[in-house]
Amino acid sequence: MTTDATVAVKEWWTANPMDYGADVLESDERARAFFEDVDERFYRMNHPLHTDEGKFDRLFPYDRYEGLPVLEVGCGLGTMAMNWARQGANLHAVDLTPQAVALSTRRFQLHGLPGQISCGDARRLPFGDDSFDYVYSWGVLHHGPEIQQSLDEIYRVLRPGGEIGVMLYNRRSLRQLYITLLEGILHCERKFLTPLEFNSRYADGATEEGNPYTWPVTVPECKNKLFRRFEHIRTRLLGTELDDNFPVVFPMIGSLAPRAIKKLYARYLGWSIWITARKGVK
Amino acid sequence: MKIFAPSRNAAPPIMEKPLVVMYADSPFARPPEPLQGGSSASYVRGMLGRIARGKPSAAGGLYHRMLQYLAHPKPYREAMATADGVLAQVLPDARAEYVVVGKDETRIAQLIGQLPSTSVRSVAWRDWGAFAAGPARDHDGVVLVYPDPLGLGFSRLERTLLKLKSTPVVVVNGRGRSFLLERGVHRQMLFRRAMERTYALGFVLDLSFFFVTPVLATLFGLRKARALVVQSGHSRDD
Repeated sequence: MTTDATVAVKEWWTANPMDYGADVLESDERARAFFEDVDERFYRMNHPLHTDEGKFDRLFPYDRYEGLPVLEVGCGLGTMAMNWARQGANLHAVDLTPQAVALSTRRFQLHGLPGQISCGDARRLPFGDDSFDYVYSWGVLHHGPEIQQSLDEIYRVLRPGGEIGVMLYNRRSLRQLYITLLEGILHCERKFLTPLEFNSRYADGATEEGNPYTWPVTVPECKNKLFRRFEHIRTRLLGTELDDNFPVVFPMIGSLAPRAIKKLYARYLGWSIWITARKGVK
Repeated sequence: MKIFAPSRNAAPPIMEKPLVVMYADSPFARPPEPLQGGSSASYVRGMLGRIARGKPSAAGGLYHRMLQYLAHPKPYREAMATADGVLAQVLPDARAEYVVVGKDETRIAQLIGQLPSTSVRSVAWRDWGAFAAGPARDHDGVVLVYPDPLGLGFSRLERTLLKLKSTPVVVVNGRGRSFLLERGVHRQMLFRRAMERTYALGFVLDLSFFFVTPVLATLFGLRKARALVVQSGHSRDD
């Protein structure tokens, strides 16, 4: 990533944090209400990933890493980090923006949770080699131009035998198809923008201008290129967005489609690729 | 299409004194309402209701929301600021004059009310023909400001401007894209606007659902069958 691009990414995410509009955290009461609201939305968006026993436990092997060092790269407002800390992990988290770090730290203080949250760039993680047993990142690494460098860095800080879980946007998804048809072709945006500019503009919401970098990937790219240093690479399309997107993409029948059909689309055309892999033992 | 912003594939026409035209009869001339709740499905039902002429006002409101949902228009104040930014980049020496055209005096006043204090002239639609053939010719180009990406509602205005063959017409749309409006581009825009107004894309996607779903189901079935074969092979090996 060039310095200019890094600065642009940092500035944009500082100005547009994933905070859904709230900006005041003065009193404990307000902060608690704010985080509850943020979490409720985030959990609802990803409801197929939860069970009665815990949030996101269809993704995360919490029990295997109890008491062990776990790292989140790009913690945002710290919802997932909080769940890991509650499950007993020795949680570390980094984010590029000081605002996200401040908010996540505030969340941990509020709930009395242990955890180290610091400012950090995914391409130069401030940790030694082989420091963590589990590293995860949720919808973050595709926002930086040097995704490979970030993954190499995750590989470096992961212990041999340790596991990773990474969510990246999927370029071959129903959402991408819809955006391409509506904005790219009908609204002519592809005449004006390069593919990278187009994806950066439309990948995270249709209304916000100025996101400097977003590049969704494909499953073959993940398996054959990005994660090739890891072992036991497994990919899964999540498609948690389809409950909301189905009636938009298929306006007349989308809201009538049964759950099984949505799951079928999620399996083949979901927007999120969940990649799990392991670092080989030397 | 000759594009000037954000990238450029052609040199923009030289304009020292362009006339920047905003249109009060655009469906997005009023500030967009916040879109909360609902989905495009409900807007489509609204559109169908409008076509059925059952309750035109309520259905018309839903139809407008559907258009807004698809187009994500900018409030005209922001669209004008965007246009000013693009003009400063593309035509840095231009000294623009602004005019709002519309059929309804109230809508013209509402649109002007949204704009910053820059002096803006208003021209009633009935006088527009004379204005375009007369005072507009004092300007060496026209810049149309769309609040949305396609300029819904601008077709008639564009036709009158394209008759002024010697005057180049540049468009700055609500996404900050700038291009030269030629006859071919205008025809393309008419088609795109018709697609947007009828939500043809939604209907095409609905239709595709009936073809794509069986393909995905077949793929899924094959994958399951293969997994079962592999599993039974493993059991035999055991």
